[in-house]
Amino acid sequence: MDVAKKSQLAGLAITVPTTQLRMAAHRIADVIYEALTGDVGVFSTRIAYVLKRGNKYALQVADADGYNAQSIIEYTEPIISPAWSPDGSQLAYVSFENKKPIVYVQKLATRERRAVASFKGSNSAPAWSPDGKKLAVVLTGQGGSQIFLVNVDGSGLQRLSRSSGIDTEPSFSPDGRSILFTSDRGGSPQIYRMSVTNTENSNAERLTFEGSYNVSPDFSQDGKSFTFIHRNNSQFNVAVQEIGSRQVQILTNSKFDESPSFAPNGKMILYATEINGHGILSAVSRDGQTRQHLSVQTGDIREPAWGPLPTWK
Amino acid sequence: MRKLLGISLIVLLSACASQTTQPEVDDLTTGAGTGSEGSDLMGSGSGRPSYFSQLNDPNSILSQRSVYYDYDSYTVNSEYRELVLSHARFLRDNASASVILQGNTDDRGSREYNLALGQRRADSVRNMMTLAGARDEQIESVSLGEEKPRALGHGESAWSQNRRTDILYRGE
Repeated sequence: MDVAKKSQLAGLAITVPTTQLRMAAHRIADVIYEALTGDVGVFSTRIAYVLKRGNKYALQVADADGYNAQSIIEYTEPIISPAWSPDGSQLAYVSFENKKPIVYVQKLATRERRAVASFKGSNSAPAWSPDGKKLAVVLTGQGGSQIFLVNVDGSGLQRLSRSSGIDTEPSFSPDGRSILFTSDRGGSPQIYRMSVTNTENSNAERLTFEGSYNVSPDFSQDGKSFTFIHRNNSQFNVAVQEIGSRQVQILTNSKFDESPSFAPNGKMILYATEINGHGILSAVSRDGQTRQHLSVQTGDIREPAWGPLPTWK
Repeated sequence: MRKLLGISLIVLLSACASQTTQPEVDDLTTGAGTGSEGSDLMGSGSGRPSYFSQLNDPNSILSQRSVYYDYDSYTVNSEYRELVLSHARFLRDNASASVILQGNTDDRGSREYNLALGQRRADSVRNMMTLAGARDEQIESVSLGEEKPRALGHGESAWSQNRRTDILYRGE
């Protein structure tokens, strides 16, 4: 209800079993948020992250506010780089359980999983194409770290990047035609963009020019900007750059920020940071005005990834 | 006004009683171990090859197994050249010996970029060794990125210890 105007803004009736009260509350919050702001609400979305406790690493999925966490997989070797499939049904991630990094894809509903990139050398940095059919991955088996495309079933390996430097951290554009990635081909790690569809003739275009360390790009869902980590003197901060204008905005002022991930409505960015020597997750609004730490399990939290909008939207 | 409402809604939800669900844990048993080629390293009978005593003699440069790096760098500094070349010559002279080179970084910045940087560090030692006579088949270079630090915490004293390639001989 809009109390001032005394008119109904939105109506929604849901009947749920008591076990789903939390999810119902999130759906209601989304409806209210959307009616008031005109933006898509993200209260019903989920996040993935890695939790380290002692010598154990757990890949967990939780509600967007950090509650209701469940472990998807747990091991005594590191897990990094979780990546949501576009439909939210699967997670790709990198596990060191076989003493070297291998990319796995796991179905959340059934917990079954398969190794998608287990080639000679290191396999890491999975990124889903928007149609959910391919993954960009980073392999070292053919020399240094280079970006490849592979089908979700592990077949059809195709090389994308060609440099003698480090090319890593691919992130697909929403139309699936290009990727952002981190490369030090110019002498220092910067963010570049290259075509996925025309790899024969296309060169990579450099996008970041401020400072000597710009890494970890994540494309926004509208394709108009990307978030990344920018090193300024000795600080690592979350930043956003507009593709068209090249305008950069630094959003945080902490010391060791990592892994920025856009909310599916583009209004917030989830990232990993540190307080009192402990890794925690935090969220900052796109304009940098609001910041909030998330409540999650005790331990060291890192590598967050914000999941897609639920399928009823 | 809108932002305030958005935030107050977030606060409301955080205040909701949380359901404590038991985390479902998948216990993965490892496959077989790292498949070290033990048989290649055994001498003609009785156990470890005699050269292991040479490798662990504290008076020999061969007992030093770590190369350290400047920040953001994967170049082997001149102060470590003799160390790397000594190990290379050892490999050249002992055809049955083989090594794993593990590249590491300090914990600043992106984990994926550090995984790649660690690989470059291990590869740069590998290249130096093969140029000095070690065979390609005797060397495997891998990266641990920032994931297995030797020294914990922040500050140059910890960071400088973690920017490192370790030389490990198989069978030790």
